[in-house]
Order: sequence, then structure tokens, then C-alpha cells
Amino acid sequence: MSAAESSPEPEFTVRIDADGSVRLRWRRGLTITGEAAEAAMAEVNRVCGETRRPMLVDMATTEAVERRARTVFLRPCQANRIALLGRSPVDRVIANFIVGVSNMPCPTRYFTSQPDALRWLGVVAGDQPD
Amino acid sequence: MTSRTEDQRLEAVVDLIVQLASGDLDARGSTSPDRDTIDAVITGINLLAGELQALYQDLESRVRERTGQLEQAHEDLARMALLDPLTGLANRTLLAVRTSAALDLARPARTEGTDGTEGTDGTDGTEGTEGTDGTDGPGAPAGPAGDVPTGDRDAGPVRPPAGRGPRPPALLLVDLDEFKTINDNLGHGAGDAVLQEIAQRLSAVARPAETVARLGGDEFAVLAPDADDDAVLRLADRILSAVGVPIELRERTVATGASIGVRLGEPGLDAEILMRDADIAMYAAKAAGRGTVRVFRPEMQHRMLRRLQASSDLARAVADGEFRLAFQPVVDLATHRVVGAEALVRWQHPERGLLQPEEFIGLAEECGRIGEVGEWVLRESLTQLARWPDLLAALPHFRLHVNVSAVEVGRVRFDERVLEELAAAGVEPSRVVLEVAETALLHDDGQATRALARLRGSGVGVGIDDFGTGFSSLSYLRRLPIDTVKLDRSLTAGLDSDPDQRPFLAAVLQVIKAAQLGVIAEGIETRRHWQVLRDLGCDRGQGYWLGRPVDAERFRATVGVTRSVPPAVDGASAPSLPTRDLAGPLS
Repeated sequence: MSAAESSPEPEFTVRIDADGSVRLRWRRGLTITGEAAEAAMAEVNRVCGETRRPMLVDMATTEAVERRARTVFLRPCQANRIALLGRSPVDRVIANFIVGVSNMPCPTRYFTSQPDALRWLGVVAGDQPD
Repeated sequence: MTSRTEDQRLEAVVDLIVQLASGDLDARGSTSPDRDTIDAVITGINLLAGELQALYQDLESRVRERTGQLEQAHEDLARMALLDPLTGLANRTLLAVRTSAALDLARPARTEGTDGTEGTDGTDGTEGTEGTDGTDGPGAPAGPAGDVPTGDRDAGPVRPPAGRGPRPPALLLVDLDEFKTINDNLGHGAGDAVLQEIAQRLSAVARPAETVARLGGDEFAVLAPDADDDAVLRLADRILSAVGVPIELRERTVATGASIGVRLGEPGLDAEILMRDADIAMYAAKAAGRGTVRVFRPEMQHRMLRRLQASSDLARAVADGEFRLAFQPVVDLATHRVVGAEALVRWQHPERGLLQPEEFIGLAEECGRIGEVGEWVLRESLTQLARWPDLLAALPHFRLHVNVSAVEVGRVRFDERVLEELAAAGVEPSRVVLEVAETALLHDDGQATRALARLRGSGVGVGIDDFGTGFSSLSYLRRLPIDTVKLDRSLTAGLDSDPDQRPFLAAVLQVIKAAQLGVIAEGIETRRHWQVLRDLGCDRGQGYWLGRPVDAERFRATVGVTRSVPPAVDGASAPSLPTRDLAGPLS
């Protein structure tokens, strides 16, 4: 597990789970800035090393995503499939702005169910959600 | 959450949409911690507003960038249209704009006495000397800068002293001397460097209110608005001094100079007249010699018109066959035998009668017609020579002397054309001597000398004409491909007045003989001339005392029969030359 900074609660955390997937979790209520996005993607690439991995992004309760941050998400990274996990209608709107407005570099989809997300990522056995 | 709260939140959403619709793309809505559907709508609106704002900013940025490019392109085009690309100076168009502006400014203020071309009164002389950048009078008129973007020197405002309006502008045309020589010998790169340096120097000596322009080639102009005559003449002097400083190029130093034509300001002139008059003055300066300033005077225009008329007349004269040839005998001073003749051109002008060479050759050179006249003289001379087979048979050493101008000798293929004409006429090259003025070869870059050397190699004689009028040294003669030197008539005439002339001529003849060159004395008009020159060992001579120029028929009738020419009657002193074989004067 790593963090972008050593403050009491970092803007994001990145870790590799036992199933081999990458978990990126944004701090609750955060407005994701371009700098934060840059730092998070750099951290994802760092922990993945040479290996491309599926990634679960927990973005529930994210306050907003700046436009510049969205352009960062457009760049290819070591994630080969990204599941965006949220809960509220606000999360859905934000997630779909990320996915819908931009041409993502790898398959990317929004989920409100973590098991569905993990199945779609292929890290948990079972039928993939539609 | 109560229904009323939801209504308030939806009202806030409506307000947000209205605010965005009014163009305030910075407006954003606040979400609640509930992150419910209304918050999702607000979040979506915020995101869409951000997207729209970014698109607008991007669009505005592109429009700004493109507008800047268009403005730059427009400015570049304006510069190209108004500036000389080589020097960055104003071009002819911008000069005309500024001239008109300066004239317009001067017009309403010039209702009473002027300082025109006749000088200035004392007050103006003092103020006007530095007047173009003088005091700032209240309400001083703006300068005639021409409201156009330019990269040339800023034509600053004209600020005449309080109490008077600007005076009419003066125009100076500056033409570089010998620029063609620089271009021809050092290449166009060096020529361009010289022009750029001259442009900088002119800009340095001109005042802020004055416009320096390049009109093309090696011709520059300086427009002096609100011009005081004395100040303009001092400006001309400054220009001459600045241009006269040698220019250091990469590998050598180039001497430069200029001729300047000035048109002083005068009420009522328009821009076209100002330029025309300055041009006329500039040509007068050119004609007067290098490094000369000439101020326009009305008689210059008359002279120019006469020259234009002469040019047109000369073209007609060639086409209509108005030229005639006269032949003056060249006589062996010891034996009195005719050894040749000089072909001399005359112009049978339909209105002015028979004109002598000195009345039109200079004009022909000035207006560029000398080549046509020279070609006619050579062709007609050779044709005439071919018509005298009996004379040529009787006088095996007879040679016809034909004058050729510097312009002709310097032309490409001059030697080939002469040989072609000789062949076409069926004349032996050895029967002809081409006479070239010594000044023609002083500025020769080698081409003329090489052409004459080739002609000499083909048997054609080459002589230096009017020797003693130029500045060539006798040692210089040895390096030229010549076989004859013709002494100028002034050297002969000097025998009448100058007691030292005889020893001087003796020395000159001795050196010419030492150079193994033949010599012909011109201007033998008295028995004494003949005696002295004969006694000094001069080979040959020509002059009225020996024989006047006559037409071809008379020349052959006299010389062809008698083989020698009789001396003419020399005023009171009858000739005591041998009379045997003499058949009377030729003219």
C-alpha cells in the first residue's frame, strides 16, 4: 500500500490485492484535481511495474472531477481494464462523464456493486454483468 | 428532506441554468451531502458548464491566435507594399504618400510670403535650420507620417515654430556613382551590402521628420517636410559626406559617392512635379560629375526636353539615313603623301542643317544612341572604302581611321562584329584603324582591351585618339594593344602661343617613338605647325592646312588622282610646300 502524501488522510491510496488487481481509492468528498490525477496514475504505474493489471477505482462520494484530471485519465497506463465503483446518482454522473466524454485507453465501466465490478474485471469467478 | 426543501433546491437548479444561459459560465451549483438525484443533476450541470467553458476558452484562444496571425499577415503585406525589402526603407509608394501628406499640411498655411526657392528670411533661417524637429508650438500639426504600419524610420511629427504652418517639403534624389561597377565586378551580394550600408547612413544623417526611401536600384530619396532651403542644402552635404566614406565589405573596401538632385519646397507644387524636378536635377548632377549636388532650376527642364528631342531625332536620323561621312586626309609630313583618311560623321539635320560631331555625339552618348551612330559610321566607312579599289591599289599603305566610342568598344562581341563588318564589306583588316579616346580605356575592366588586342591580332590597326586630353601616362600606352597615337589638336595649337610647347612636344614624340608607336598630329592649321612637327620627327598629320574634310566623291577625285594632298592656303603665308603632284586644295 502506498499513499500520495503523509497527511492524516491522503487524497488516494493504491494497492495490489491478493487477486492481482489494483485498487485505487479516492478520499471521500474529494475534488479530483489534475495534480491529484497525475499523482494517482503515476502511483498506479509504479506499483504495477511491468505488469498490466485490472483496476478497481473506488470513487464513491467524490465531490467532482476537474477537466484536467479527466485528460490525465485518457493516457494509457498499466491498468488494462478499469471498473469505476460508486454508489450515488452523483457518482454515476461523474463516472459517466469520465467514461462518456472521453475515449478511455482501456475498457472502462461504472458499477454500483463491487462484486459485479470484480467479476467484470475478471478477478472473481462468475458471470460477468451485462 | 421536505418537499419545500426539494422545491427550493430545484429552484436553485433553475437559477443556475438561467445564470449559465446568460453567459456566466463560471456559475456552479452546490450539492448536498445527500448526493441524491437533484445533486446528480447539479453535478451534471456543473460538469457540462465546465465542458462548455473549456470549449469556449479553446475557441476564443484559437480565434485570438488566428486573428493575430491575420493581423500579422496584414501588417507584413502592408510592409511589403510600402517598404523596400532589401533596406527596410520606405519605397516609392510610401514616399509618395508622405510627400502628398507633407504638401497637404503645408497648403493651408502658405497663404502669404514664402521662402520658396529664393531662400529664407532671417527668422526662418534660424528656426528652420533645425526646424524639422524644432519647438513644440501649441496646436502644432501632426506629421505627415502616412497612417500606415511601416518598419522604416519613424517619420516623426512636423513641428514648426508657433505662429506659422509647415513649409512645403523638399525632395532630394540620391543616385550612387559607379554602383554598376561595384555590382559588375564584386557581384550582386556585395552590391546589396553596399545598398544596405548606404541606407543606414542616409537614415543616420536624416532627421526624424524626414523620410528616407529607396526608389529602386541605386536610387534613394529623402523627403524633408517643412523644409528650409539652407537646411536642405546642408542635408545634401551631410549625405554626400556620409556616402563618400569608403565601405568596408568582407574582403575589400569599396569607394562610394553620390550625385544629388534637389527640388526645394515651393508652394503650389504637387508630388509628381516635385519628383520630376528632383529627377531632372539629379540627372544634371550626374552630368556635372561625381559627388555633385544640383538644385532644380527651370532651365534644367528645358535642357532635358532638348535632350529627349535629340534622342528622338537621333533615332530618326539613323532610320532615315540622315548621317553623312566626310573624309579628312592623313598625310605623311615628310613626303606630303596621303597615307590615310579619317572618316568623320556629319548629321544632315532636316531643320538645323549640317551638324558637326561636337554638336550631337555628346548628346548621343548621353541618351544612349551612340551605339547606333557608331555602328552606322563603321559600316558606312567600310562600305565606302570598298568603293575605292583604285585608290587602295595606288596607295598600298592607305588606312582609313574610324572613331569608335567607349560604349561600343565595351560591348560584348565588339571585335567579332568589326571582323564581320570587314568581311561583309570585303575590306582587308589592315586597311582600317579604329580610333578610341584614351579616356575610354582608363575605366576599362579588361573587356575593351581584350577586344582591341584580338582585333590587332587580326591585322586591324588600333589608335588612341585625342591623346593629351586625358590623364593616361605614356608608360600606360605601352600596355595597350595599340599601334598609333593621335596627338590632340590642343597640343598642336599650343605651338602658336606657348614657347615651351615645342620642347614639350619633342619629349612627348620621343617617348611615343620609344614605345614604338606611330604618331599622328591633329590640328595642323598653319605652315609653321607642319614645319615644327615635321622637324620634331612626327610621322603623320592632319588638319585644315593639309586638307579639310570632304565628301567621299571629292576625296577620291582629289586624292585618288594625285596620291598626295596639297597644303591649303595658310592665310597670309602662302605654302611653300613642294607643289609637284598637287592638284589644288581639297576644300
